[in-house]
Amino acid sequence: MARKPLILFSVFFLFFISCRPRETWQTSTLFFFDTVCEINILSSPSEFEDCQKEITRIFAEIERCFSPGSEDLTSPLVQALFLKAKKVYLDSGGDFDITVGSLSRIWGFLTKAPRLPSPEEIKINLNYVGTDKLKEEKGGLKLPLHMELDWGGIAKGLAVDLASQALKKRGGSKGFINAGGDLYCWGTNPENVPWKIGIKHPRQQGFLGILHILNLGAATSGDYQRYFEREGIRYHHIFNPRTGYPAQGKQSVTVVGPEAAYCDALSTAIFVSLHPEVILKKYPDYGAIIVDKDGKIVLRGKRYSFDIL
Amino acid sequence: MDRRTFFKSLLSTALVSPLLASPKPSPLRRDLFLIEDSPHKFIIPILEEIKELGLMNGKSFAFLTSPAQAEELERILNKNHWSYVSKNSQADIYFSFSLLKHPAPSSFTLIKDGQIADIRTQNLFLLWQEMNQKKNFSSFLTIASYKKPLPNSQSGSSASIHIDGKKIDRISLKKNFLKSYSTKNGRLTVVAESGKAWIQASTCPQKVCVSSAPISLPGERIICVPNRFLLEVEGPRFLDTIIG
Repeated sequence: MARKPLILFSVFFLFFISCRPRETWQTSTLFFFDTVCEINILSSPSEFEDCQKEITRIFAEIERCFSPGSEDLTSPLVQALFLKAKKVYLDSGGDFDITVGSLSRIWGFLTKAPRLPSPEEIKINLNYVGTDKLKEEKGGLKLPLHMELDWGGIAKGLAVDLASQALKKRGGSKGFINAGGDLYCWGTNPENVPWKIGIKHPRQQGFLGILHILNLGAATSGDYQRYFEREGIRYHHIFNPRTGYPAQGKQSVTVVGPEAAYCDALSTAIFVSLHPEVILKKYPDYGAIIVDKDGKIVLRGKRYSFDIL
Repeated sequence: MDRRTFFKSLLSTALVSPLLASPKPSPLRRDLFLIEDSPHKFIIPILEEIKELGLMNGKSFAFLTSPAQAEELERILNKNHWSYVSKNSQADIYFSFSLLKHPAPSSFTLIKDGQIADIRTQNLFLLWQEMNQKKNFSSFLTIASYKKPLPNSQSGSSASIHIDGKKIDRISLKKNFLKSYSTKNGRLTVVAESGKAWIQASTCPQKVCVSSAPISLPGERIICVPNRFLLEVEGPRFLDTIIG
């Protein structure tokens, strides 16, 4: 007699399971941060709709908070990201600096009308660079006169971190978000193996190599992403905050690690730095794939599975 | 020496290859084991054969440990146009060394995917015989670890076109193709020819899309942000996504 309820229960249980909406791989492409954002997650269709709404909300919020000139320096999001940016600023000895905004402007990268500023212009604007010159007050950050922020080296990473956390919470059990090269992936890929992430070659068509990672973020800084040429010299958008000129010596830096925001900032810091290993010592969970000026691939910091093509 | 004795000799040593000890051996890993006191006398023909068989690409090497024999090895490799790189950079082949507890006849074998692969082809068989007939036993083990070259990524045969995140067209890369697409913010012209696709013209201000290199590999894409336009090569993806 005791068995009957059990059987009945099993029948109901099976019925319940079969009625649950099936999880399938869902993809979507959104345009944010001046680039294309690719989302691929395992979830039910209704959950996915919810997820897309949430991502759109988060990305719009990040754009609102961190677009050049429109920063609301009192918002908690800005203050939280400032702490991370300042940490990388200090840990990199100033190689990563969000106050290069005025440099980005005089070089024309903000208005997408690139130009070569005069040495005097650069010298003047170097006075307005330096995270240590920012005043942290109770109500928020205070920007001294003429100083401008450029969150481009870290904000997309934060967006990806926040969005992936939100998706996990909303039932996306596996997936990735790739916001124009700032990536976070969790769980395994559709073939149930780690995600295969191609890294673009900085000089050729095709790929440098393939990362095999899961539950990790990744981001790349390269001299090929935004640049212009004058008289055979390439001027790109990653500035050395000390000279005011584009940083020399590398073609691209990809950083892999637990948080996309730190990957983003560290890839910029290492691109500028002469001593990447010194920075990475302070970030034991992060590893860098560096392409030097001669095109040689060098690995620094923590090693992640990476196949060179 | 037959295979069994070869492995007995190997088992009597503590294998020190850090690559072997890595927690997740990659399925692409290959290890060449060479028992020989003067590895530099034999390494070149063996490596050449492995390359010949298409089992390895590239010509850079690194030492994970550096006993005295490594110097000779470096000299002979350099002479044969291999280039030395530091062990922290990405080398095509990594050498590590160990001592056998019990000296054994000179020999070599290749392990791929955890299994023995016989590379005693015609060329190498004579070499192997020569080694094996030596009177002196060797106790020096050279381990050369490298990765199998990835299959050449196949070009895709079609590309998809997305506007505003929605797929609106699919084009073949096998046929010559030219078509204009209207978006909310302008117009673009897509061209396909001999397996490649690119954007020939666009009304957008910066023309980043027009200056993007033609694409041919599955997953490669050209994006025009002002037009919210995406051109992507379809096909069996050997990648999930692309960064950089």
